[in-house]
Amino acid sequence: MLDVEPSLSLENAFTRKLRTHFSTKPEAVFCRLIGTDAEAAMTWRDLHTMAQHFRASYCTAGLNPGDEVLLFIRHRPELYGAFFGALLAGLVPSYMPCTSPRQDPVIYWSSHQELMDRTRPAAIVADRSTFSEMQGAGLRSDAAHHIVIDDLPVGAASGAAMVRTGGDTALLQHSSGTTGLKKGVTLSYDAITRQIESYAASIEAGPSDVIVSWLPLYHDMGLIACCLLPAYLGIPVIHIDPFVWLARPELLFDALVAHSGTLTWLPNFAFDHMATVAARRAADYDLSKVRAFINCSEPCKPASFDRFASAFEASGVRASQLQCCYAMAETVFAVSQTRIGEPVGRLRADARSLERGSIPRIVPADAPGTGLLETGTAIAGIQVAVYDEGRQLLPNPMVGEIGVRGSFLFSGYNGDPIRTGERLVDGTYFTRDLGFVLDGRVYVLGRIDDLIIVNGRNLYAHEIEALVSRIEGLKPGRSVAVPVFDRRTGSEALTIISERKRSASRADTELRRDIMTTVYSTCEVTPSRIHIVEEGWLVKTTSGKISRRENLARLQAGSRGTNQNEG
Amino acid sequence: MKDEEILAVVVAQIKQETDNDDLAITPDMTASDVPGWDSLAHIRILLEIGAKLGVTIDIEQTYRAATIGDLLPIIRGSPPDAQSGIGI
Repeated sequence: MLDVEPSLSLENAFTRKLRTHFSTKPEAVFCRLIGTDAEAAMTWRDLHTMAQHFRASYCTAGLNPGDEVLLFIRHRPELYGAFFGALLAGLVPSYMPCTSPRQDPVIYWSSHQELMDRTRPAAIVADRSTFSEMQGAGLRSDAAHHIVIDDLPVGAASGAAMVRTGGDTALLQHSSGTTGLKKGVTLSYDAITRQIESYAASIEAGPSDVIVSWLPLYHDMGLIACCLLPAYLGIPVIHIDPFVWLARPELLFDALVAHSGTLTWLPNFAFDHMATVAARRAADYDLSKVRAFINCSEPCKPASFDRFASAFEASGVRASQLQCCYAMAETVFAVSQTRIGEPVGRLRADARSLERGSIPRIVPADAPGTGLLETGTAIAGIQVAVYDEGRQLLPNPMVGEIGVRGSFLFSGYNGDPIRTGERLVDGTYFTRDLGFVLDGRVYVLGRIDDLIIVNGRNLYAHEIEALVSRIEGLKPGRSVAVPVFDRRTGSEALTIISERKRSASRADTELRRDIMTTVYSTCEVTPSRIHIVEEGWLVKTTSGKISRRENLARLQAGSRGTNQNEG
Repeated sequence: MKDEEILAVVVAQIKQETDNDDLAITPDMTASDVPGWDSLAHIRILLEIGAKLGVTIDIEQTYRAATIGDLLPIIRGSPPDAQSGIGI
């Protein structure tokens, strides 16, 4: 038994559970990290030791309970040590993405200035090279302590354990928005533990499970389903470096087979991607023991499931293994989940009946219409309802905005009471997702607002447009960003239409390259289409706003300006 | 196989993957010049090129290519000793 600080009566259930695991199963594997060339096991003892070292560093830096700490850490054990050390020190950590090899570090880090100014973190944790990149980009974060993980002193923290109660803020989750404008979702310990207990019951998670993931921890699906849930339940995680998975997607199946993985979560696009890149080796894998491949974070598509099931039939994949979950950071994670072990329910509806305020008209499977997958029933502790534009309750199964209320909602957007007040009203969180509930099962149709979900990343069109508007040679305020669903990839593709200034001397190829570099370096998303059009090409609505929908329709109809130039 | 033949397959596959027949693709271009060429598309492009040419491509080597032209020796299986770019 490892000698750890005893649980304290007022302590929240999450860190209390961590202390139990530290003391009762020190030699058990907490996580295996798979990187480029190596795999490293991290036991609960290792996690405890590293978390204590970080706690000591936080104490030395003079940080106080409740202080916010931003973690910019690549795939290495410190990714976990810094986070859990922060929780044990009573701090409020938040995982943040680092630069990818193709991103321009100057553009990327410069775009964080607004985030730094708004959140004013008490500390930033990163390696030396990341701090060097930030400095090179002129990012000002002088008010924050810089904790360099390469220089981490070896030693335990002194002083009494910090006791955080269930109602205290545990962490900030930054999932949505472009880099500098990310919304910090504030989550309490109570909300997190209630979500985990409810969701674990819905997927029947237990001690014999092994979770395999390539998801980054700054995303709610990676953080909650593949880090905090297994940490709370004490079940092991096999965590593949997201960048390595991009280069070698088959590692996911290799890890599922090698470690007898039972659960994995994937955005919809990953089902298509795996079917494309790994089907040639289908006969090499035995995936029949996987309890569930859970589709989450993008609208779940029947065609993607069909493609995956067909590609990996030789691996033993059955329809009953393919599951759906509806989740969001504002409810910590899951809202609804399909039943494990049973094929997901499907229906086909007349597309015209899926407008807000309509009742879905179900049509035969071979009739023209929109194919939909259910996302299951609401998990225990949360209620799902559907509302009209005036936020009046609609009877089921009418189509409207999905609203949720229950015992594990977020506390608000960090430092943004206006946005919080718009979305969290009298205990109901208005999701901006369009959907309906039929026979108790939740169906999600898409977004009401301008959120674009590209390969699981959440971007707001107006933020992309603002970024593009700053590019020399383009007319400020005269760009639109629109999503176009790409059947081949199973995800939305980002299309940008920008007006060039009449006076601009720059070539269209230069403008397109600048758009690509700016958008990718800021959001890590590559636009699929960039259209440079003449000044005045974009049409406005009667209220004077540039209409994304109308301009996309105009583009698709082929009504282009004489100098419209596609890339 | 000649570089011109490999290049023709590469260009055709990039156009197919990015669904853009109109784009003029030249060996000096990088991924940043081709809308839709992201990390996921990159894997799909290279796997399909490998299947069409009957070769196994070292995907990790391809990340060291600065330009489309630099991909050719990697696809052929004889990458230069050192390349500096990460344009792909």
